[in-house]
Amino acid sequence: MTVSTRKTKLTTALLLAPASLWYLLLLVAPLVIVTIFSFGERAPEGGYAAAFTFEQYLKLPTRSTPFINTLWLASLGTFFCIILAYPLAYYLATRASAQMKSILVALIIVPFWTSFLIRTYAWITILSSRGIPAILERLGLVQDLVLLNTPFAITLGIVYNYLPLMTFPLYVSLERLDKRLLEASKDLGANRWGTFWQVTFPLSAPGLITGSMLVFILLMGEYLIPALLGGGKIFFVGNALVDLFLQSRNWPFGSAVSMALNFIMLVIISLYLWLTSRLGGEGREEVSLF
Amino acid sequence: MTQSVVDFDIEFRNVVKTFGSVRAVNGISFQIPKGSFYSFLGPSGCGKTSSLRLIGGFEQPDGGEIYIAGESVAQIPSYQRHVNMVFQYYALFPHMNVARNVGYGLRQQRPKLLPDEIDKRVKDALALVRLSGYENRRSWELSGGQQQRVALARALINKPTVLLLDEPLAALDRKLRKDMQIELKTLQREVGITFVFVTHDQEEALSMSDRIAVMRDGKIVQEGSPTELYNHPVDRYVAGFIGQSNFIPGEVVEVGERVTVRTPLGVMLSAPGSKDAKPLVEKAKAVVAVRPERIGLWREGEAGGQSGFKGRVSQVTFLGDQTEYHVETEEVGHLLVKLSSGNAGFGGGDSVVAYWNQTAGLALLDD
Repeated sequence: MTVSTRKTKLTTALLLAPASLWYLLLLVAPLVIVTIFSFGERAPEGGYAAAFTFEQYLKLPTRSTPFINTLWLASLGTFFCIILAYPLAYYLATRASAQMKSILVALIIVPFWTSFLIRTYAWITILSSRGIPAILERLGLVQDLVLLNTPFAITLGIVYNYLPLMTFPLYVSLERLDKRLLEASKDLGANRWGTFWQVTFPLSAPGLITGSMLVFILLMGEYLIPALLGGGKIFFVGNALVDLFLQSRNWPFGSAVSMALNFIMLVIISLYLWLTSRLGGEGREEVSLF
Repeated sequence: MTQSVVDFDIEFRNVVKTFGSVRAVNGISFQIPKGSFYSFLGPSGCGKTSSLRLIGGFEQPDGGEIYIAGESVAQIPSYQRHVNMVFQYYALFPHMNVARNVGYGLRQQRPKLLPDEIDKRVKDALALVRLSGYENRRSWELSGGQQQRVALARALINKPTVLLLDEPLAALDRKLRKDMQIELKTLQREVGITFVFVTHDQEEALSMSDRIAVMRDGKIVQEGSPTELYNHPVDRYVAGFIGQSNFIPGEVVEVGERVTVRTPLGVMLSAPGSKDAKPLVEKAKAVVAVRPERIGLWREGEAGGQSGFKGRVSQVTFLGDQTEYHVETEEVGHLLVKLSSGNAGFGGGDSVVAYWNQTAGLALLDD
């Protein structure tokens, strides 16, 4: 081995060291600990007692509700994000003037300069009995309407907070769409509707999938929105974990629930990678997450 | 609709198209005969692409009328016009393979065509452009020339009345461009469809077209067959755009069977006026245009009885079959002369006499 290649290897190692150390300490090590704990037993006073048992995994079905809540409401939230974000991104990318574009983009981004917590607290006030329900009752439209602490409130919080994550990947893929392709489609006899479904929509699929994954994956770990807008009545996996680790101090069972969540994420991400690779060579590099 | 109108596939009557304050197409009228290869030639911004896009329906005229096969198309959107376009960078659908790209137009037809019929016609169209067996390729796996032919097949499969081509060869390298020129012309004869071709390359236009419209600033300066344009340009602009020319400026002193022009140095030049040229009158500013290949060179002292312009060779460029000589003369200034390489033998600095036959030049209005 020559001196120079040795030197390059050393440089590479040095450059990678901080990041590697970070991941080892804060990702790999905790994951190993959680794996070990998930096969352990709860110590009588709480926490972890060494053991090797599948007991925790066998108990998982008792916590199926948070999983179902998470998957169901994350799907619903993602769906509504798509419904709202697609026309918005489409307008931004194809119709809006340069000035309108910057105004709208600012309107989407600016709320993010306020803390997530504060924005969600604001929704508590808006949805509480003194907020929207009070106004609607005053107008004589409804009676005894409850909005806060319902799946509706959680879905609303999800859509409100995650909409930009869906909008921007969609905007990017629609913006990059070659306008001549739309002309070619019309030239070949497709009307607006036909052109949208045969050209625009398939070509925006990478953005749609990326946006959906961004929203969905982050939602799988969501804790605050169900805690605040669901009033502790509708548990997500995140809330269940906090409960298990901090209230019941059942670390091994909490670890098993974490492992189950990790497994579900792994399946979803694999699905995503498979989908994007199937979409073909070009789309993959453009707006891929990984 | 009268019969005479239908002899033309495309007709423009005083068509105007403005973008903001720019008149891209400034009141042009022309007719494109059925089954012809018709080219719009001009520099960028002359309105040639706008004219094509008006035919395709991608732009709406601000004034005037457009007829396709004798019918006004003012109310007809692009997807209902019987014209198809080959776009400049082909605009192939990246999410579809070659077969699905080519069959796109057929899949839009209502009532729906049977899948077997579509498959068969896609196969035929690919055979026409010599791409059989490429059905399952993706567009980015193809070379520029192959993409070009997919775009052609995708347009021709719809059996359009008129095929529009927007600088389709611009993205190809020189050798391939030459091959495609011949291929396009052959294809046009085979399918018998009217081709409307837009280019800024005079060589392309000359080699393929039946008729050419030379455009400038949104107007058609001259329209005619390639030979008409080459031999009888109407003005200095066309003479300079189609092929090369030497221009010797001066003032018209006499208009008769031939036109006599006096240069600022007092040299009298006699040349025919262009057949369709704008009228030359006495005292008008004019140029005498002489094609480089119509000028002959003699070594000084060997000129015999012929009279010519004395000068000195300043530069020699060997082009293979031909050699280009730049000659500086006192009387008529700089001259570009093209001689067949076999007859040549002059070197830089040689003293020569340049001459041309009086009928070789052309007196044109200077603009």
